[in-house]
Amino acid sequence: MICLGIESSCDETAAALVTDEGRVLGSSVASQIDLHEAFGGVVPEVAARRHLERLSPTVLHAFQEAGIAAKDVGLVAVTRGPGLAGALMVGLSFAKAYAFARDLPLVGVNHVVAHAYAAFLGADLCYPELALIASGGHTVLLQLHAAQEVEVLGRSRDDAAGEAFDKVARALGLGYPGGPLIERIARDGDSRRAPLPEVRTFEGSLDFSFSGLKTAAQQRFLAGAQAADIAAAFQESVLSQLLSRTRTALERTGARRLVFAGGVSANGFLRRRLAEELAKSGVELLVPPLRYSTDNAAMIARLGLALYAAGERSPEDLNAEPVIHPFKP
Amino acid sequence: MKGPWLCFDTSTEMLSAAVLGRDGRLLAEVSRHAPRLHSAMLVPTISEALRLAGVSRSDLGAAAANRGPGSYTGLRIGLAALEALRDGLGIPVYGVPGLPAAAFAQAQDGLVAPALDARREDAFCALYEVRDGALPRELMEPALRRLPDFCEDLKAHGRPVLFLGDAVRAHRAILETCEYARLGTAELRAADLGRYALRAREEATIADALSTAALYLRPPAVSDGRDAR
Ligand SMILES: [Zn+2]
Repeated sequence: MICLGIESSCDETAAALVTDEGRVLGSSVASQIDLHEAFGGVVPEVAARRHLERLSPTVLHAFQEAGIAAKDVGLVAVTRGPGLAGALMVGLSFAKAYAFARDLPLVGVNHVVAHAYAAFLGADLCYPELALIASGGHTVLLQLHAAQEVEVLGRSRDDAAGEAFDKVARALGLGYPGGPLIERIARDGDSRRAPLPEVRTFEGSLDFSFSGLKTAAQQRFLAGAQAADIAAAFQESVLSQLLSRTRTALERTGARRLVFAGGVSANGFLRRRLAEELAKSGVELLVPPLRYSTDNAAMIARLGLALYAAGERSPEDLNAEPVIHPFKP
Repeated sequence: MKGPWLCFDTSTEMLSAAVLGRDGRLLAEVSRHAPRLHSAMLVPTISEALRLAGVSRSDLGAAAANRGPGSYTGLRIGLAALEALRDGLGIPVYGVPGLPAAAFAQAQDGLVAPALDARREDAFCALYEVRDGALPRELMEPALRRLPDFCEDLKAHGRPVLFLGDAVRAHRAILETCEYARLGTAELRAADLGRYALRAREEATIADALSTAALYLRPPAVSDGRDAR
């Protein structure tokens, strides 16, 4: 079976065609980064307008890349949340009407959980899986027991990891989005020259905290430290926090591999260092192909297919859920 | 173009869908007051209208929806669905400008000003001359205007102007001070969009008015209560 996946929760309009073995036939992503750059973040009404302009062409592009026809599709999957309400409704409305037009089943999926499924585009899925998802909107540690059963082991109490990258980049005068900019200048930096304070931990919990790092980085910069050194120290600090929570989760669950996904997993330093550290205790790090780390629709289709195989069908009156608990699949 | 037309309107709190015969005859219409539920209820409403009309989705000849002005989110829900029907069914679709369609829907000859409430003293409005059942002639283009200023501009025509749309209710006090304003009550119905498109399609001069691009009539940077609908 081939699934058409549709994603429009934030600032990427995306469509993809994926087989039930997790093979991506076509995947198209129309980024809006240029549009929001001037504002230093995503403007909801601007995003929603652009989604409407780009969605149908993006779907068409995915079909062209896949070289298949509408009649070859057996399932439609769409992001139902979390995300920007106006943006979500564009994708949802298109997906629902498309499924109706083609008389196809529809499955609404959770965007955050879908990030983990990007790792299973080309890799086998073997429940239970442990997944660390870090993006601009979310930082969560999940245990996937089944397609419909997701347990939240930890989450950020304040900023998401990707948000911290953006805020630190802004404090250092680098621009937006922050992730790639920080990674680039950190290569020439030395974290020991601008050490950042230990991050708060929460008694008995695997929760994260990133807002303190931003404040500390800002203070170091104002006190005259080099941006490159601060960027390096910031990445080290993010790594150590991700590692400490992950290690505890691995101990508790006995998992032998960790999925690392979401926009922050595109960071080469974090990918490499996490893999190195986990390998010391014989744990494998599974990361999605780089192009599926950030928002895309192939991951939406992949989770949609898993849910469909587990018997999930969304009702005709499926609605967007801008605020949605991450453990709902 | 064979087959009946599907028309729907998501631009206000009323959600409606209609099925028209190719001659413009109404086969079925479903309307529900559904504030904030358009994204959930549009497809079920379309499905119900088709069932009542006894028309299968694969028999449809075309589809039309309101392209604005109206609730931004509502317009996007309708237009995204309209494009999906085009892509999924392979039929032509038409985004219909709501203000001239409202003017076209009322039969009386004369000046007509469809106007939608845009909060404070503002309205999305336009002015048309309606005559002999022809497509309305545009005298003032659809735009966001201060309603008192718009009423002032109408004096130049020296003739009564029939106001339509939800601004009639929302801005009754302003309109009652305007000596030329006559208050209509007609609400735009989904079927009216289809009838306007059926006619407009034949007139090449306004054919590109039927694109599926949303007519917001206001730049996005301004935050606006309408979006909450
Ligand atoms: Zn994401």
